Amino acid sequence: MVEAGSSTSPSTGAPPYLDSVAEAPFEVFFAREYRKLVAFGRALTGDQGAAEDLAQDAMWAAQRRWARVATLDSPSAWVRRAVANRAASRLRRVAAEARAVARLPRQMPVDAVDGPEAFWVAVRSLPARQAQVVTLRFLEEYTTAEIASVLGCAEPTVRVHLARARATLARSLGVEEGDDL
Amino acid sequence: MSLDRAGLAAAQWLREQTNDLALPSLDRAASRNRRRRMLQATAITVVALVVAGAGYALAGGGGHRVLPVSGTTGPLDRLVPGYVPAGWVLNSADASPQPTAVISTAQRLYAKGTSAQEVAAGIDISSERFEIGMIPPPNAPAGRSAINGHAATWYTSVGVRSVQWMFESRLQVAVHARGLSDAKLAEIASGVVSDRDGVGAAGGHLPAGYHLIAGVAGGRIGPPGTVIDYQNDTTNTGFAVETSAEGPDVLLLGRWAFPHLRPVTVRGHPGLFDQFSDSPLDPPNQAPNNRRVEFGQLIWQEKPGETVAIAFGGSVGLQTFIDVADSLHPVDDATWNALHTKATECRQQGTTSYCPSPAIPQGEGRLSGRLGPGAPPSGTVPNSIVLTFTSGRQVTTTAVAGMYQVDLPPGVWSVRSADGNLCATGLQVTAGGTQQDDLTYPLAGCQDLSGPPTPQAPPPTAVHSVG
Repeated sequence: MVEAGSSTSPSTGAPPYLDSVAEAPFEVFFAREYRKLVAFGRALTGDQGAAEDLAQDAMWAAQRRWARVATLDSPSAWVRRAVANRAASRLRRVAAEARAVARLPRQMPVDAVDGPEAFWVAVRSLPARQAQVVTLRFLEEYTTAEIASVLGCAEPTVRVHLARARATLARSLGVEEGDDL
Repeated sequence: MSLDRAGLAAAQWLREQTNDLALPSLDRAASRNRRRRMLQATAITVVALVVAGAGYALAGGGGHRVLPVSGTTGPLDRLVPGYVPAGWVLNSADASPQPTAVISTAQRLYAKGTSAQEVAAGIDISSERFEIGMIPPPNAPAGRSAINGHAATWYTSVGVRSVQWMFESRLQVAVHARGLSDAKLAEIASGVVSDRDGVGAAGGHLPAGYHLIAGVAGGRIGPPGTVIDYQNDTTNTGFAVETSAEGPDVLLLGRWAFPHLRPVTVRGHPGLFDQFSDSPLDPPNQAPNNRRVEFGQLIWQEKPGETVAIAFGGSVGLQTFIDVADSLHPVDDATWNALHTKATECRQQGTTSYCPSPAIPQGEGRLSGRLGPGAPPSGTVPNSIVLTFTSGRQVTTTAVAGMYQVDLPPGVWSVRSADGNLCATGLQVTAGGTQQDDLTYPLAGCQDLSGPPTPQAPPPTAVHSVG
C-alpha cells in the first residue's frame, strides 16, 4: 500500500518535497531531481521524449531564476508544478494535432496494454488535474498536503480529485479500489 | 489485485525506466528549450497539415494501388507576406520540412460511394467508411476473439468500432469503422495484406461498393518548401505561411483529414478554409469560458506543384487570412536570407524566445515574461489580467499561457495586478535592454525579483514603489 507522506529526506528528515536546497548549487538540485521529473512527466504524457522536454524546460526555468527558486520552501514542488502545467498544455496541443491529422481515434484502449503501462494509460485518461494528483500520490508518494502545495490548490480539493481518480481507475483497471492511505 | 498494489508496481516500473537516464548537459537543456519554445507557439496547424499531406497518396478511379504524391515541377517561390496584422512579429524564416513530423503509422481510408473527384468538389465525404492502420506499440493485446489465429481486441471509442490484432507477428494493425458490423470488420481484417507502403484490404475482402480513397505511408517526412512564421507575444499565438512542393492531391487529402474545410477563392485559385476549436482536457485553474483554443487555416495551390498554407492560432477571421494571402510575394535569396538571419539573431539573444518588436522606445527598456506557474487563491485565473506598474502604465494580458510585455523608463519597478493576486517588486529595466521575469502566483507573499544585478545594469535610478 502507499505509505504516502512517510518518505523523508535521508539527510534532513524533511519530506522529500521540502528538501532544503537553499544552500545547494543548481547543479546538485538538477542531478537529484531531473530523473524524477522525467518520470513524473512521462506518467502524465506517456511520451519519453516529451517528458524529457518538459523536465528540461522546467529545469531551465528554475536555473534562470535559481537565486529566487532556491530560496523557496520547496524548489522541488516548483519544478513539479511547472511540469504539471506544461504537460497539460502539451496534451491540449497534442489533442488538437491528433484531431487535425486523423478523424478516427487510434489510441490504444486500456485493455490492449499489459502490465504496469496499463496503469499509466488509465491515469492519462483521467481529467488532467486528477491525473496529476494520482501521479504525485503513487509515483512521488506525496501526502495530500504535499500535493496541494505542489499544485497550488487546497487539500480538500486534492482529496476530492484523488477519490474520483481512484474510483475511475479501479473501474477501468478492474481492480479493487480499497482505501487510500 | 488492489488499486494501491497496481499503482505501486506501476510507479516502481516507471522509476526503473528513468533510473539510468543520462543527465543532459545544462547547456543542451537550455538550447533544446529554446528550440522547443520557438516551435511551441507557432500555428501548429500548418505542421499538422504538412503531416497530413506528407507521404499521402490518393488512389485514382477507385483502384487499390497507392499512387505517388505529385512532385514539384520547378523551383518553389519563397513567399513572404507584405501585410502582417498588428501585433505579430517575425519569429522564423526557414526551409521546411525540418519542423514537420515523421509519421509513425500508416493508414488507408476506404469509403463507399465517394470518389476523389467528389471529395475535390467539396461534396461531403461518405459517412460509410473504414480505415486500416498500423499501430506501433509492441505488446500484443489480449483479445476476446482472433483474427487469422492471432488474439484480437475489439473496442468502441467515440462511436467508432475497432478491432486490433498482431499482424504477421511483427506489427499491430487495426480496422476502424462507424457503420459496419463486427462480422464485416472481421471479414476485412482477415483479408488485410501488406505491401511496401503499409497495409491495406485485399480486394476480395472489401465490402461491396467500397474503394480506396487515400493512403498514407509511414516514416516519411514532409515535402521540401519554406515556412515563415510570426509571433504575437500578447496573445501567445502565432501564424505561419508555408510553401511546399505539393500537388493537388494535398487539397483532396485536406478534405479528408480536416472535415470542416470549406471552399474559398484565394488569389484566383480554389482553396480550402477551416477554423476549429480545441477543447482542452480539464485545464486546471481556468474559467470555463476560457477553455477553448482557436485555430484556423487556409490552403490553396498557387501553381502546379506548389501549395501554400496559412495557419493562425487564435480567433482570426477569414478576411485576415485573405488579406495576408493577397499580400504574398516571392522574395529573392538575399531578402530571404536577411529574414532568416534577423529571426535567428533575435532568438539567440537569450533574453526572450521571441523577436522583440516593435522597437523599444528611445530611452526605455523592455520587460516581458509569463504569468505562472501557479494559480491565485481562488483557484480560477480570470480571462485577462491588468498589470499596473508604478509608472502608471497598464498592461492587459490574457491568462491562458499568458505573457505580458511592457516598455518602461529605466529603473526598478513594482507591479500589482488588478485582482491583487499577482505582486512583484524589484523588476529591473535598463535603457534599451530587455528583461524577462515570470510572475508566479503567490508562493509566499509578494515576489522579490531583484535578483543578482545584470551585467549591463545602468547607473542607479530612482526606485519607485507601488502607490
